[in-house]
This record gives sequence, structure tokens and C-alpha cells, in this order.
Amino acid sequence: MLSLLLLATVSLAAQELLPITAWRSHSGDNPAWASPQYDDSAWPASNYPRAALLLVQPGYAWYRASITVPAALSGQPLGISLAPINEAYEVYVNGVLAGAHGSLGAKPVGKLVNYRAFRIPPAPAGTRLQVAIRRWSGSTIINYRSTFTAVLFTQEHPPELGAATLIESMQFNRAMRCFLYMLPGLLVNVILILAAILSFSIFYADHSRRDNLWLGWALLAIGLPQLLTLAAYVQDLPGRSLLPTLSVLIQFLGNALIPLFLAAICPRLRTLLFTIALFHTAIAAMRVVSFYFDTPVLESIVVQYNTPALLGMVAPLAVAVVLLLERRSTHSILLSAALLGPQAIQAYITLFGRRMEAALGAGATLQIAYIPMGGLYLDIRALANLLFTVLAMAGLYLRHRETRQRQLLLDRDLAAARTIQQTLLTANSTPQFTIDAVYIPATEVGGDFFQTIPAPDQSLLVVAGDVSGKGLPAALLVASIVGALGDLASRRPAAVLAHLNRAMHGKTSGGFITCLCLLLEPSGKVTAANAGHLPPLSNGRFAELESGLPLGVLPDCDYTETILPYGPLTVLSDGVVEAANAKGELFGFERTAALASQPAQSIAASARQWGQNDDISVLTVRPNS
Amino acid sequence: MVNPTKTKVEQDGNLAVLRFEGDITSHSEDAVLGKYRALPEGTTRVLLDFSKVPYLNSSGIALVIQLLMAANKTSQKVVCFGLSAHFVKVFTMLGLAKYTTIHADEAAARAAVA
Repeated sequence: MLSLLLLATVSLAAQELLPITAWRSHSGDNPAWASPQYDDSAWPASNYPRAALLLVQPGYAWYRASITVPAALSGQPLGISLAPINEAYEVYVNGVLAGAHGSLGAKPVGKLVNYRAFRIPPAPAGTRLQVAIRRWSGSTIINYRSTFTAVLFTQEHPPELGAATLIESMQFNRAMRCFLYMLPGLLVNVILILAAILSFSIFYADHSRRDNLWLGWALLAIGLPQLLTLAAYVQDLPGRSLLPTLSVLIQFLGNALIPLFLAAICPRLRTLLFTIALFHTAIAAMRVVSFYFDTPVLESIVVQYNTPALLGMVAPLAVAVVLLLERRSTHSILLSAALLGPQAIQAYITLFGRRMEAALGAGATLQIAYIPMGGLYLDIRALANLLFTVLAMAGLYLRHRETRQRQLLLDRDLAAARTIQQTLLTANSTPQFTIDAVYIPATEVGGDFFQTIPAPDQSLLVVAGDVSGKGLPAALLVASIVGALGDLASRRPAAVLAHLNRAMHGKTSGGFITCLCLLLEPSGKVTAANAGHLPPLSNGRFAELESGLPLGVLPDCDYTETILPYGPLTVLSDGVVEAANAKGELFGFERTAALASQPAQSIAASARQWGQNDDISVLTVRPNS
Repeated sequence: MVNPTKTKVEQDGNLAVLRFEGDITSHSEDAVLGKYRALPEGTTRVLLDFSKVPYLNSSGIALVIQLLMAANKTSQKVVCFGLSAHFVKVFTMLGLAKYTTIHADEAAARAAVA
């Protein structure tokens, strides 16, 4: 409906619009050039002050042309329409200022390009109107993401003279049509921002998903700039004000954020990608300074060192290759496609566009970057960004789903291992001895162990120890030790340790196993032998035992037996004495000894509360008579 | 929080001093065994400086034990100094007294290998 209205308006107006042609131009600045009396015949012909986001000759230039008011327009308010001109200009008609875009003065202020209409007073038929345009352009590009940049060449028109209201509605319609043309791209940007918010939400719910965090930032950097520029345009802000500057900053920071996203999904290439990100951050900073302060020196450096289109594919290509080589799964394929596909499209447009510009002139890139779609235009680059978003989000979702499933399986196996380990750690009271034991591994499973082995002669063999290290490897060695205890030729503590040492030598992968062995006899004798383990607490203090080397260090080792006083004994692992609080203060031997008369649970709880950083095991043995 | 181990090596003829800094854990293999193995041939006396080591876990102690066993095979004399009271006890409990001596400070350690 809107299109039909626009079409109708255009048709009616067509007869009353007069193109202003035969322009001449001159670089430089001289107020006298606004005068209708000035003789510009020596000026070269110009093809009209063409619109440009392009980097034209910086500084001032003037354009002059004249037109005669026709009878149809006699006596009514007139208007002149101008297609977008970069970056600030004044329009004079017969030496009188008719209007301006931006401001020219000691410090010119440019604005984002726009379709403008300028009113001039009524004039009788036959009046010669001398139109002069005083134009200024900064040294650096201002219209990076102007709303109209894409479709300028589809709506370019020569300056026109017509009835004021007609001219104004024409320009408004052209601006609206531009906006409509750009709508699909803007909608894509909104989708990208929504996807960014979703990605941030996923990271917020699970902080391990840093790839979603960086994807969110990258999508924001891709989707936001055009919307910010649109907001600046709607508010008719100066071209180098805060909002457009922010748009430029975010646009170029996007080149740094994408390598950071790549580093999150491919840690193997982290160093290379961080270096690329750092490089692009520097470029972005220079771009922003160059843009805001209009400093040509920085601009030339930035233009020279800005990554050519093909080089921009190197990082995504490297990451895609690594992902596929590491794991050829659905998520790797999706992520690789997300990286390569859109980047290839961008590179194609940039490179092919450059060849077109060489043949057809500046701005030709834009003509291949847009697909006409029933009156609208779809930016192929927006389509590429949308494709990237969908593939990346899907890839990350599948990747995390796979990781979660693997973690669930691992957790299940560890839980099963813990259950099995608990059954291996036996500490059952006998008629002669009351035994109390507690085991708190630092992780799901641990390396502490204890076994109480009664005998028909009512003696009790207590074996307790600690495999160096934590987790599953230590737990597997525990299973091996418990197995070796099932094959004892002698219950003498020294012989037991020597047997275990031989059994474990070569199995500890450079680690070791501390072990304490106690034989409690109903006659009241307690014999102990130690292989590097914490001595037991006896009579409120750590017993003095001569210790041999831990198990597994040497192929053969002799251990010495010591007789201990008969009475309650507490056997602990070093997880108790080496519990450490937030200040790094150890629980220590003294605090442990002070708890000698406490039950096993109490001692273990005290150490854990202090600050557990290793497996904790406590076993108390009390003779019942 | 674990502080990674750094090791400075000082060589004076056939005497080497390995000065450890930071926690000694399972991640300290290069800093402990790596530096020891890189000592020049002809090193017959080794001082281990633990004065800047706040903590050794069981894996870290395993590395020290491996160092002592390797030194024992080549008849190198190894002495330790700078251990906190807690770890002097731990080293003693582990039966390492046969393979090294533990001293309060560097002067005493140097005197022991003079």
C-alpha cells in the first residue's frame, strides 16, 4: 500500500520536476563563488556533486549550475532536492544561503548522508536561479554504516527544482524507500542482537561456557553498529559525535572479538588468535581516533595495515581445520561451516567488488552486495552473518550437549567407583576391638586406604596408607594394594610392608605409597611398622616409629618393628595434618594431637572444616578390655 | 591457591644449590627433577633450598624422593635446608633421613658437605 502511494506521488510530480544539469566545479573555498555574478566559465565541467560515503578529495569544493524558473512553477514556493553528499555543505541560490547539511565554519561539522530538500522563495517565470553548493569533506571516512550507503546508487538522482512541497515529499519518500530497502538487513541485525542476548544468558547459567560469552560479544559487535548509526541518523546527530563513533568502535572491535571467539572454541591456536585480536584492537583504536578527530595520518596507517580480505580468512580457516582434525563430529562440522561459509562470502564481495570498482568506479561493490527482493534489498553480508549465527549457535549447542553427556557418564562411573572403593575399605569392629573409621576423599574417589583384618587367634591386623596423588589413578592403586593384602604369608607388620612394597614396586608411576601396619594381639602387645606414613596417635601423642621408605620406591626395602603401648590408637592420613585454611595455615601436628581422644568422625570433621585439600581418613581402634 | 615452582640453580665447582620457590606439587617435575638432571656431570654435592617453599603435597614429595634415589645411585651427597618445622617432621616420618640430612639454614647445610 505504501509502495503504491509512493508510486502515485512520484508519477504526479514527475512533470513538475526539473533536473539541474551542466554543473561546474572548483576545489578550494571563496565566498565570492556563491554570487550569481561570478563568472565560472573557466571552471571544468562536473558530473554533479555525487553522493559519497567515499573518501573524496578532502577539504572544500564548490559546484555551480543555473536553471530558469518555468511558467508552471512561477510564483509558488520552490524547492531544490539534492541526493546525499558527503559530508557537510551549504546551498546558495542567487548568492543567498538556502540551507545547509552539517555546518561549515572554523571547524566544520559533518553529518551522515541524507536526502535533503531546500526551500527557496517564489520567483516569477523566466527568473534565472544560480545554484552554488559549497561542500566540505573531512580527511577520513565518515559514513561507515550510513543507512543509505547500500542503495545510494539505485536512488541516485540529479539535483532537481520543483514545487517546495513536492520536492520535500519526494525526498522524504526516497529516504523512506531507502529505509525499506535496508529493512531486511536491519532485521537481521536485530536477530543477531537477540542471539547475542541468548548466548550471554547461556554463559550466565553456566560459566564454563565461555565460548557462548565470546560468541555473544562477536554477534553484538556485528549487529549493533548499523542500528546505532540508524539511531544517530534519526536524531540527525553530527557525523563524528558519540553515537556514530561508538558504532565505528564496535564495528572494528568486532574484528578483534571474532578471533577471541575462535580462541574459545579452539584453545590450541590461542596464541595466534590472541595476537590477531590484539592487532585488530590496535587497528580499531586507530580507526576510532582517526574517525573522531579526522586525522589523516592515522587514517593512512590504518588503511595500509588493515587486514586484506583474504588474510581475514586465515584465522577461521586454521580453526576450522583444527576442529575437523581434532574431532570429526557434527558440532565440529557446523562450527567449521559457520567460520568458513560467511567469511568466504565476505571475502568474495570484497575482492570481486574491488575488481568491479576498478572497472566501474568507486562504490560499485555495493551493487553486488545486495540482492533485490520484491522491492526490498537483502544485504548478502547480512545473510552471511545470519548464517554464521545459526551455524555457530547450533554448533555450540551440540558441542556442549556432547560434553554434558560425557560428563554425566564420567560422573556415573566415578560414583560407581566410589561405591566400590567404600566396599574395599573395611574397618569392622571385633569382639576384642571397637573400630571407628571415616574416609572423606578430596575428589569423588581418592588414594587413602585402610583395612582391618582379624584372625582366628583374635589378633587384629590394621593396615592404613595413602597413595600419593588424588582421584581415579590413586584409587586404582588402592584396589591393587587391597588385592595384595589378600595374599599375605605373614601377619608380622614388617613382613606385611615388605610384601606390599614388592607388590607395588613399578606400579606407582614415579609416585609412592605411605603405609602403616599395626598388629594388635589379645595378649596386649601392639607391634607397628611404618613405611613413611603418619605415625599413630597413642596416649595423646604421635608415636615415635622408625620409618622405612614409602612402598614402591625401591624393589626391596627392610622395615623395622616397634612395640607400642597397648591402648586406644588413632591412625590418620596426612590429609588431616595438612588441611589448610584460607590463609594457608596448616591444621598441623599439634592441633591433630589435641584431638587424640575424639571419635574418628569428629577428628575428620575438624580437619575438613579447617580446609580439606587432600583425602582425609581417620581410624580409631579401642581395645574392649 | 597453588604457586607454580621456580628453580634457580647455582653451581660452584662440584657443588650445586637448587633454590626452589613456590609450592612443590605434581606440576613441579621440570622444576625439581628437570633442573636436577640438567646439573653438570661431576656435581658431587647438592644442596636443596626449601626456604621459599611454603607447601609440598604428596606428589611433590614423591619428586623429591625420586631426586634422592637418583642421587643415591650416583653417590651424590644431598642435603636439605629451609624446610618448615612441619615438613621437617614429614620428611623424617617418610624415612628420608637415610638419604639426606635436614638442616636449619644454608650455613649449616654447606658445613655438612664441606
